Amino acid sequence: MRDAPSPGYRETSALSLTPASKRELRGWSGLAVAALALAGVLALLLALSRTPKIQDFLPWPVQEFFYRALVTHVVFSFVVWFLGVLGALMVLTTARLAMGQTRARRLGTVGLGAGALGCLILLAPALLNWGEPSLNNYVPVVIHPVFYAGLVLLALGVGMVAVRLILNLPGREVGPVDWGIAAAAAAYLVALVCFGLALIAIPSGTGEALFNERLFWGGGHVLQFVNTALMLVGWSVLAEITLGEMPLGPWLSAAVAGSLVLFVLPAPVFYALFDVLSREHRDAFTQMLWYGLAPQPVVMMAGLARLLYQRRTALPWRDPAFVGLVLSVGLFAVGGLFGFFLGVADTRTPSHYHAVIGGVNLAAMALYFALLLPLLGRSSRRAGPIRWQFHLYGFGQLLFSVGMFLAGEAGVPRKTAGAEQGLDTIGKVVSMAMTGTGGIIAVMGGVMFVWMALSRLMARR
Amino acid sequence: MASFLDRLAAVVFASAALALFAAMPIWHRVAESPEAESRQTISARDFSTLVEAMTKAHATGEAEGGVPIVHPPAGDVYVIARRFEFTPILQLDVGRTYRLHIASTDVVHGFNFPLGKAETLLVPGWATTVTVTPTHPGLYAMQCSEYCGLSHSRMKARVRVMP
Ligand SMILES: [Cu+2]
Repeated sequence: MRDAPSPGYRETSALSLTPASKRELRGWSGLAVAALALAGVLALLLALSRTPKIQDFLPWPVQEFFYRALVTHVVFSFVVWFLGVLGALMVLTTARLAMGQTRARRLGTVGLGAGALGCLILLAPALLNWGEPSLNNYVPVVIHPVFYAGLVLLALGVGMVAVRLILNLPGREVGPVDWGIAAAAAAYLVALVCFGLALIAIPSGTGEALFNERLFWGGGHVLQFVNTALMLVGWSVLAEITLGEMPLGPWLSAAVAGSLVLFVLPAPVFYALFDVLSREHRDAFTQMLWYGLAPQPVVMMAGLARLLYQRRTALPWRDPAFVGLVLSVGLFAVGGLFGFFLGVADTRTPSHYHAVIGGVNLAAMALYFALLLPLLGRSSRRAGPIRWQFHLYGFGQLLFSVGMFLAGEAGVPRKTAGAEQGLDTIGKVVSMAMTGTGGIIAVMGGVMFVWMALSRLMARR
Repeated sequence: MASFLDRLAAVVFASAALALFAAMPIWHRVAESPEAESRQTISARDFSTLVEAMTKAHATGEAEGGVPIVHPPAGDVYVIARRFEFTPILQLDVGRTYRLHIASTDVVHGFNFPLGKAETLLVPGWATTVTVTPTHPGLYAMQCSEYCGLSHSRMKARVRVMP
């Protein structure tokens, strides 16, 4: 363990990138953005399939296409996107630790190949009208062997990169950011174990809805620890790049990272303690998330607040990475507050996770422009559009989430659209209008991100 | 100095996290509400018969979203949970005590009914009973809390309590 390294995290990372690790880094970074681009195209098709007249021209039976495309959209914009970013950061950390002496090097190439192939396969059921859609929590699915095969390939591909990172830890000089990514990798592997245990534990003959819900319930909860680890690492790196200092000291950073792993360790045990179909099983994971995922962001936010206060006269507001950092922290904090008012199944539930996920997304997006693209030699000096992108996405998500929270008070059902919502009071109309406007603004920010990141990644130099 | 504070903070944080971790069984105890419900086996057919009899005897003639509204007297009342509705819709009176029996006739549903302090899983073949004595008039939400299919999020009803 070393104290704050004098050349920044970005600089020391650049030194350790071999051509092979650079290829893998570009692969996962590209896969993550491509997933968002695909999710965007699917969202457009979803909108068109709900538009009278235009829907007649689509080559699919509209009603069935809608839910399959919705499932695929959610999987690409959440699961694949986050796992792609995780893959990129794990490749980077492995390269930093190994300094050209990577153990189990081949796992990286095979993992990236499996992940990319898995993503391609995931698209098939929506495009070819295969299988029944299921909108269960965390990882919605199209119930078809090809879709599950795609998920397995993607999961194992990322898993190989995670295993390789952990194999490269012993005997290496591990910094605070490296501990954070290693914690994400370890938690990810615990999530994979949970998916496997769920598959074994769920009795045959369980209805499809409950089967998929319970298959992804435990591991899905554990994946939220992975996302949080990524976000906290993102905040640290962004603070170091824009303010020259990390929010927490190296020891406290490592303790925070370690605690993320600590709280997911009991997850596999829950499968032995509680019947997988029971309410106790369901609630055990909810509680694990509720108690185990609060301390780390709070400590990190306190560290950031101290740092921002110290630098209050000279904050780099024109630096897009700094804007991304502040918006990410703000959005996540709002989502955390909403979490305390959670209802069981009303619109306040998504208001919480949209804000929290928005915070994670912003940290990841800012990492692209501040860390990943520069490491790949694809940085840009045009800060204006990037700053704009963060503002649109951040404030759009905020408006969206607050609107949803207010709508939750009025009890508008979630995951449905249009006439089914029964808008009968002014309050509902206003809150749904906020949600709609915020959603459109956030989507504009998202589209800008995909465009800017993808065009830089694909540019010929 | 900074390094000492950092190590101190790390030790304090790690201890707090370990304490919270060790308290895990206590969270479980706290979150677990005292079992307000009781359960007994019943076939879907027998339960449907009970519901039909109650609906026939006490229907108000009104309906909401195609689901009939019934106004039963105090005592045993029956509601079916099925994809994607609770039927019939109950109209209850303030101050009267009802034994609400609820059962799923198709797949596993969740039963979230704050008025009856109920949050449980409805497994086909079992009826759950909660006792309800409404104290204030109004509309009270009853909703499915376990994913049961594409329209799960629409599976909710509003129990009416009259003065
Ligand atoms: Cu249900």
